[in-house]
Formats: sequence, structure tokens, C-alpha cells
Amino acid sequence: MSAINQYLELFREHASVINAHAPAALNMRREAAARVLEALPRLPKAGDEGFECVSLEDMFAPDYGINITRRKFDINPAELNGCDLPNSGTFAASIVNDAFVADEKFASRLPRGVEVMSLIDAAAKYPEAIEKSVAPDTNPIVALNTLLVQDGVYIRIDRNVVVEKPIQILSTFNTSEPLLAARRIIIDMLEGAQATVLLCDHPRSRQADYLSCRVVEVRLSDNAQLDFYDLEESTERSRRASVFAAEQQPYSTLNAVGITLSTATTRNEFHIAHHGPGINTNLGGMVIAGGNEVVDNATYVVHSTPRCTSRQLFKYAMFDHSHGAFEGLVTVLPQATHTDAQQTNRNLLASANAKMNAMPQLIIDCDEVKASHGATTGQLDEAALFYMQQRGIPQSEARMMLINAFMDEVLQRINHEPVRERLRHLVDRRLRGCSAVCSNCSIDSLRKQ
Amino acid sequence: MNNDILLQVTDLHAGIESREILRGINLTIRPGEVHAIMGPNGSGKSTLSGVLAGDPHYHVTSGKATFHGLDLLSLAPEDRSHEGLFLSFQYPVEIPGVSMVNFMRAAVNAKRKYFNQEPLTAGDFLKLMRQKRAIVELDNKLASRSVNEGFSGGEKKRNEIFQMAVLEPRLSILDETDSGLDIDALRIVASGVNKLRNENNATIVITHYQRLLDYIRPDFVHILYKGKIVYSGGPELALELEERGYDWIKEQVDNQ
Amino acid sequence: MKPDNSAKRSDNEVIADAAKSEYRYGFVTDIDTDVIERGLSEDIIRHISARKNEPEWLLEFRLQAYRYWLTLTPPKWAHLTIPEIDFQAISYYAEPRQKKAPQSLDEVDPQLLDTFNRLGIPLEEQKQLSGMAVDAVMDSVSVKTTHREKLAQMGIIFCSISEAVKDYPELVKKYLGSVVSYRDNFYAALNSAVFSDGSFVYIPKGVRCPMELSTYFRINASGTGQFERTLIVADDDAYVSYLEGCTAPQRDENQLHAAIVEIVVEDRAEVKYSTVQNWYAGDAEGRGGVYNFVTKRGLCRGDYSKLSWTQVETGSAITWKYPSCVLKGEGSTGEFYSVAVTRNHQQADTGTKMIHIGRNTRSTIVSKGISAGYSQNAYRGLVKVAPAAEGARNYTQCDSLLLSSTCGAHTFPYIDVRNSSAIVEHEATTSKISEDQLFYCNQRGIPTEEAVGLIVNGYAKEVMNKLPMEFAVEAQRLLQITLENSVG
Repeated sequence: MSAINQYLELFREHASVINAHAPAALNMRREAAARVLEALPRLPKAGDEGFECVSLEDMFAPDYGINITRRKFDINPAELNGCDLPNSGTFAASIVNDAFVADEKFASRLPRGVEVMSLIDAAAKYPEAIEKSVAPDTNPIVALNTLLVQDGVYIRIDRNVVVEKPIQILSTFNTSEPLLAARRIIIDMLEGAQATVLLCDHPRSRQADYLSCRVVEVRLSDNAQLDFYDLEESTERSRRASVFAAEQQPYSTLNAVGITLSTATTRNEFHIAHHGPGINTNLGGMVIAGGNEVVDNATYVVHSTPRCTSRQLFKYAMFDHSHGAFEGLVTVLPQATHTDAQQTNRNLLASANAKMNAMPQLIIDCDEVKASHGATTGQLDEAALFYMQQRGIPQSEARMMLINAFMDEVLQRINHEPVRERLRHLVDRRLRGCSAVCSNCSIDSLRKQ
Repeated sequence: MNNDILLQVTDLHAGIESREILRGINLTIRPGEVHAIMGPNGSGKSTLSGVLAGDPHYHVTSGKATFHGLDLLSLAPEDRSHEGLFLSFQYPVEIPGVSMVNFMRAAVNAKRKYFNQEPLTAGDFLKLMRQKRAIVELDNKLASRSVNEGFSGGEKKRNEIFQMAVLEPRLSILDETDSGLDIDALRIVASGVNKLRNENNATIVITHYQRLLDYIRPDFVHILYKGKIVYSGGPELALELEERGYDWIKEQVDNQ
Repeated sequence: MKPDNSAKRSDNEVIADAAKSEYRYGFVTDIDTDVIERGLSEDIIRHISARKNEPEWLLEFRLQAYRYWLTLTPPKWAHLTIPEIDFQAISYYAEPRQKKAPQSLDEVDPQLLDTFNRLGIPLEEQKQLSGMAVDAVMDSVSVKTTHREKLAQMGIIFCSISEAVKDYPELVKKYLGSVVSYRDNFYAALNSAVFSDGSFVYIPKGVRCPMELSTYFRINASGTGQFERTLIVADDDAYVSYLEGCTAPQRDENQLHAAIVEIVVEDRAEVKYSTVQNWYAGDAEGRGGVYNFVTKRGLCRGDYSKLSWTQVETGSAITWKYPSCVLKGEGSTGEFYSVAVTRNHQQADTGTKMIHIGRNTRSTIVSKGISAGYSQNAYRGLVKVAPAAEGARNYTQCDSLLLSSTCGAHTFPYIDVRNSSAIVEHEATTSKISEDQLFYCNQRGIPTEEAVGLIVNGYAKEVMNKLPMEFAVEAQRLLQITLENSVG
């Protein structure tokens, strides 16, 4: 029996409970999601088209608890605000399990035209923003999320408002029971708005297995720009199925970088749709995996309008028995003239038992295009290693420096300097085998209690 | 006197994969000396420098190399470096993403750690860089770039000598340092090498041509052919080679 | 329309005209042909086998394949729109009627000789390029194999596979189906059940075949399919270069061609397999044309063996083929060089598989796609590095050139690396023909149509250079004909 059934059964039996604790704007889509799931024989497994290494079927099979009655957990919101970026500071709030948590002064600290609130509050204030979804409805991760989601975060940046300080959302789990959290984050960038959003996925404990079923929806209006950075630093007991979906209006720019430093199993999908000319889409990804970690990034960029540009760069460093995959599909439709699309995937296999699958794909139905992709899988440059050793740098150190340098190309895509430096530091620590959880993040100090 | 010997190579055999390239090298180098090793293409010159520096591409089948009393061939490449062996590469490797500053800091501090010294402070390190850059007239801008990336041929070679100045080796091996250099760059590189010479260190200059030896005057010249040193002499040997080419050596050896 | 667009428009027109050139090989030979009834059943298979006087083991092989085929459905994963094929509406065997097997050229029907002459393949040995031996296959049977005696002196076997079954049953039995099992895929099963003729090549140990071996395939009869089967074995230290060419008459109906090529390369042996595929592609509206569904695979079984595939694909309404290398021997090498041109309503989904199993195996893939008109042209390739393939290397370069705004060019590489010492590189680009290059040529006085030809030929050169000389000339001509109105 497929893993889908337990969620459908739960929904059929407890729809009224789920709905009672969630806003109508979310409830109205559940039936359609249930029908999508009912039509699937099962969830995708590793080896299915577009799923080279992660099996959603296995990921969703365990009997996770789902907090549909929305029992409250004791968390002092002030304690969650400690993960400041040095020299910059952020507007920080949290998602605990699936609930938005912020201290009482949080809203008053936000500049004019910047709103960060729970989805429940947003549904009351901006119902139309929550009702419209840009996530692909028939995607199984989206359908599962839609079926179960009750809360999340809504970020709205008003017309022509430019926010310098990053908005940071820490998401964590806080139970001793196995838990599935359906999280939805919706970001509305109105015309000409600019902001940096940093998501940090830090499950709090190793006491239980967690599954984050996450959907991030982004709407970029004309000339808007969003810099979106997504750091996953979780434990060997955490799994994540994430869909990032963006709809871009003319002349908007999206810079999205996803970094996976630790997890048990992660599947990240990026779905990008264009609605007009002159759009820029830059996707970056970095995976550092060891142990038995399985990490998969899949991108779907559809060029449907003229004079748009997309750049993709995904880099993996695979250690131990880890298994990585990159599936990238760039589609250029006939009307998308003067498209400039590039996709690059570079992988290092650093141990004999690590595995990597790459499937970079181009479907091009238009002749006025520049499109290219490249994928390489290999090892560190031995000539460089020897050169460094000859200068006295020990081999292990030389390796570290070379892997850091390899990954730096992805970090270069992070425009916000304090965020970039912070992430560079975390990557370096991860490569040195430390637990790379932000050293001054209070979530980490909570863990030590 | 044994204590005076910096490098003693005895009957060294080495090769790549299953092919033997060095067929019994014997070489003695004392502090203060400059040795030139010359030879036609494919004679094993670069193999010799690679083997001495510990390049994993080559493997030693037999023979010995003693470096101021240490069994050189048993040391890891980085330890050979710490002990004072420096190889100026024929083709310096480009390392994208690793800045010269980080690279040199790692090298300097690894050596200090090897000798149980504290790492240099940022200020002292930068001062050291500034000082040594002057020796080879290396542009400050190059120092902020990735190692050798986008450097011209001359800049790469000057960068090698700059690193040599920073690491202050006891034995420097200059592998075809003159290849790809115009006359001005050659002069700068050679003058850098000469400035670093003293009575305690030694230099091996590996070259195909006499040209570099006009600037770095050797005490001894050895001719390498088919993996062996077939001829040794003073600086006049290099001049003779320049005049007569390698053919007479080849004939002599091949007819034996 | 703005005046400065006029020049550009004419460029586009010129390029569009490229799609309209005629097919030169579309004639039908009026020869008495023995065609068996349409349809497929165990009886038909027994009938084919009996007519070819086959031994019992081969009939059994066919029946097994047929029974397995019955359990399969046609593959649908390719980027192709394939109309439903009625496999019962095809005749699985057609033989140009000759009184008996010709002992000499005088006994070959003059009509047949004329056909091959018109195709540029004279069967008279003295007329041939001296460096080439030809096996000419019309519909289901081999018409004539030239230079056999000369080759036989060196121990080289070059004959039709039907003859090989009779004369060298042990060799055929040993290798048939050893590289492409009938279980491999739908069309491989179908071919294994009904294969008619094809070539058999055996190069003994240490022999370098002194001439190019060539098979020329021709579909003539209507309502038939062609299911040839080629088996090439290069024993230790042997070398052979093998060429394959194909044409078919112009007909409104679609004809099915489902071939299998199997190659075995032993220690230090080398096989070069070159194809110029020019089956009838259908008319400008997409009516008619050959469905070319082919399974080609070589096994580099020996250490340091080498297999090189070169293909120039210009014909067929639909092409579905992936000449592959299984690199089992230590240090073995696989190569795939391909130019695929599609125009009008042609569809091609072609590429290769490089399966690295042995240590230090190497593979190179160079694919050049050229799409025009309303065609769809896809590269699909798999590079797989098994855990034991220590030190494996692959380099893949896939370029697509688009000559119209209504065509499509697609790239589907699959890269699966399970050994950390492997290095796998894939690069792909898609672009239209460069306006800067066209303008540069124009400025030097080269008309656009000629410039397109020059640029396309230059673009394909890396692959064309891999063809044997005689073939390269033909292939270059074919490229020019295919883009004729733009070349002049």
C-alpha cells in the first residue's frame, strides 16, 4: 500500500479538525489536493523519471505524528532571536514545527512596507494573497502540503520598498515524538520591492524523526528583486521534501541559493515560471554530504517569454556513502525568443563509496536562443594538491582549501555580504567536520540545555 | 665531510607507471653550490625534480636520497617542503578560487607549525609578503588573485620565485624556469634567485638551454641522458653544449 | 516591415528552403519480388526460418524472442511522437526473385545491378574503389558480397548472416544475441524473431582487415519492413573498419526498419563502425518515410579494445537509435561521433550509452544535431560508471544548431557515477546559426546559401573527419543535398 493512503485517510477522517484550526484560504484547496493524491498509484521512488536518488514513497512511509489540533508548544520567542548575522543583524522570526513564532515587538521593528506574519493572520488581512497559489498543484509534495498545511509565514514587501537587513526565518522541530510538519512560506514582492530572505532549517533535537514537507511560494511583481537563501543544517534524523515555486513578472530578478550542509534525506525542487520579458532567474545550489546522506536538487525553469535570462549553478561534494543527484530541466518555448539559459552542475566524489547522478536537460523549441549546460563529476585536481603540498601545506589542509575554493563559486552568488561571510564560515566548519550549527545561534544553546 | 653534504642521491631509479625513466642517478650537492642539470628532451630532467619533491605521479624503484641527513624519499611532500626543499614548477598549477594570500598563509603557518612555532600574526604575515614581493617585483594585484590563475607566463615564474623567497628553502630546484620567459622576465627571475643565494643554501637549475646560465652561474654542470648523468663538468660544459648541441654526447653514449 | 529586416528575412527564407530539397534515392526498382503475406505469428516465423533453411536452434531463438515480444509494448520514453504501428499490417519477408543464388556477377539480375549502380554502389569489383568490399542487401536478402575470396585468404569472413548460419554455425551460435539479448527492448525482440539478412564479419586473431567492409541496405518492396541483423567479431589484435549505408524508395506509407547490430571486440582489437543513414524521410508535409528503430551495441570484452561509432543521420521519418559501448575490458575505449540532421517533419531521438565496467576505461561522445523546418532533434545519452570502473574517463560534447524557429533541439544526458576516481564531463550548447558568421561570409562575397552550407559543414567537421575517406565524401555530399537549396 502506498504511503499516500495514510495521509488521505487522516484527511478523510479528520478534515473538520484540520479545517477548524486553519484559515479558509488554505482549507478551500484541500479537496483538489486529495484528488491529485488519489490519482497517484504511489509517490515517486528513486529511479523514477526525475527522481534519481530520493524516494518520496519511503520518506513519507513512516507513521509520523501530525499536530492537526495545533497543540501549543512552550517556546520563548525571545530565545529564538539570537541567530544574528554578525555586523548586520536580521529581522528574525521562527517556525516551530509548523507554527509562526515571533516576539511581541517583532512586528513593530519591521520597517514601513515590510510585513512578516503567520499565514493565519495573513489569511485574515490579505485573503486573496493566500488563496492564489503559484505552486504546481499536481506536484506530489505540493499536494501533500496543501492537504495538511495549517500555518506558515507570509512575507509582503510593499511597492518600491527596499529592505537592506535580511529577513530571517528559523525553522525547527520541538517535540520528542516523530513529527511531520507541513510548512508553507509565501513571499509577495510588490512592484519594485527588494529584499533578502534567509531561511535556516535547524531541527532542534535528535530525539525523534522529523519530516518537513515544505512549500515556498514566491511572487515577484514587475521590477522586484528577491535574494533568497536557504540553509539546511539538520540532523541524521531529519528529512525534507521541499518545493520552491516562483512566478516572475517583467524585469524582476530572483537570486535563490540553497545550501544543504547536513540532513538524512533531502529533496529540493525549484519551479520557475516567467510572465513577461526581461526576467532574470539565478539559481544556485550547494550540497556537502557525508555518512549515508541522500540529497537531490531538481530544477524546472520554463522560458515562456522573450528576452529572459536564467543561470543555474549546482555544486556537490560527496563524502562517505552519500548519494547525490541533480536533475535540471530548462525548457524554452517557441515564443521565448532571445532567451539566454545556462545550467552548470559540478560534482566532487571525495570517497570511493559516494555516488552521483546528473541529469541536466534542455528542451528547446525556439531558435533565437543561447542555451548551454554542462555537468562534470570528478575529483580534486591532483596537480593542484601536489603543488600545495610542495609548498608545505599538509594534504588534508590542501584538500579542504580546494573544496572550499570549489564551493566558493556558489557562495559568490550570495549578494548580501554578511550573509555570504557567515555561510562561508559555516561551509568551512562543515568541511572540517564540525557540527556547523551557527555558533551564536540561540537554537544551538537551547539544544545544549 | 659528510656533514657538509646537503643532498646525496645514490643510484636512484624511478619511473612513471611501468616505464623506467631514471636509471641510476648519482648526485652530491653541498651548501652554497649551484648545479645545472642539462639534457635533451625526454632525458628525465623533470622526472628527477618530481621524484625529489615527491610528486605522486612518479614512483621510485630503487636507490636513495639523503637530504641533510634525512631519508628524503620517505617524507611526505609537505614535509620535504618544511625541511627546505623547494621546487619551482615548470608549469605552475592554476588553483581557481584559492587566493594567493590564503595559499601563502597556509604554507607559511604549516611550516611554522612543523617547527612548533606560533602562526604569524596577520600584520607580520602581510609585512613578510610585502618584503618578499619586492625581490621579484611582483605586483600587489597578483597577490589578491587566485593562485596562478590568469597569470602570464612571466608572472607565474616570478610568483614561483616569490614563494621561494617566502619559504627560504635550503635547496631550490628550478625546473625549466626559463621556458616561456622573455628576456626581461628572465632577468628579473634570475636576479631574484641570485639575491636569495647564500653559503647555506643550494640550487639545482634544470634547463635545456645555456641562456639561463648566463644569469645564474653554475658551479657544476651535469648532462642527463637516458636517465643517467653521463657527463659532469664546470660552467664551460654548458657553453660547449650551446655550441655543439647534444648530438656528440648522444653519439658517445650510444656508441658505448 | 522595416527595410533592415529584409536581408534577414531572406536569410531565413534561404535557410527554410533548405528543408525542401529532393530525395535522390526515391526511385523504385521494378523487380519481381517475392513478398510473404502480411502479419506476424509463429507460423510466419516458422515460414521465414524454413525458407532460409535454418537450423532448429535458430528457429527456437526466433520463437523465444517472438513469445517475449508478445509481452511487450513499444517504448514511449523518447522525445518522439510515434503513430500507432500496426505490426500485423507489415510483411516480414521480401526477396527479390532470382532463380538461384548467384555464383558470379553475371548471374545477378541486371535490374538489381542497375539499382545499386544508381545508388552509387557498383557491385562489379573492378568498378569499385579498390579499398572496399560490399555486401548489398535488398529488402530481406543479401544480393551480392564482393571481394570475398580475397578476404578469405586472410581468414576474414565477410558474408551475409544467412550464409554464415549455414557455413559458420558455431561462430554465429556463440555470438548471436550475446551483446543484444532479445530481451533488451521491444524492437530488439521483434528483430530477433523475424530478422532477415544482414552481414556477418569475423576478423581472426592478429589480422588487420586491408579494406573497408561495407554493407548497403536498400528497402525496395512496399508494405514490408526491414529487419537486418549484423554481427561483427574482431578477435584479439584484429582491426576492421565497417561501413553501413541505407536508402529506400519514396512512398506515402511508412516503412519499419528495426535492425540489430552486435559487435564483439576482443583483446587489443579495434572496430570502427560508420553509418551514413539516408532512409527516405517522408515528404515536406511529413507523409511517408522510414521508421528507423535500431539497437546497436558493441561489447569491448577484451583489454585495451576499442570500438568507435560514427554516424551521419540524415534520413528516416523517425529515428530511435543509441549505438552503445559496453566497456568491460581493462583500458578499453568507446567513441561515439554523430551528426544528425532533421528537417521538414522528421523526428530523431538518438545518442549513445557508454557503460564503464572495466578499470581505466575511456569514452568520448561528440554529438552534433542540426534541426530545420518543423523537425524535432534530441540527443539522449547515458554515461554510467560502475563501482569497479576505477579511473574511468568520459568526455561528452553535445551541440545543437537550430535552422528554423519552428524546430526543436533537446538534450537528455543521464550521468550515473559510482566510482570516485572517475572523471565525467558533459558540455552542451544550443544555438541558431550565427548571424555574425553569416554576415562575415556575406561581407566576403559568399552568398547566404553557400555560407549556411559552409558553416554547417564546419560545424559537423569534427565528426565527418572520423569517417573513412570514401565515406566522408559521400557524407559531405549528403549533408549538402539535405540542405540543398541553401548550398546551391
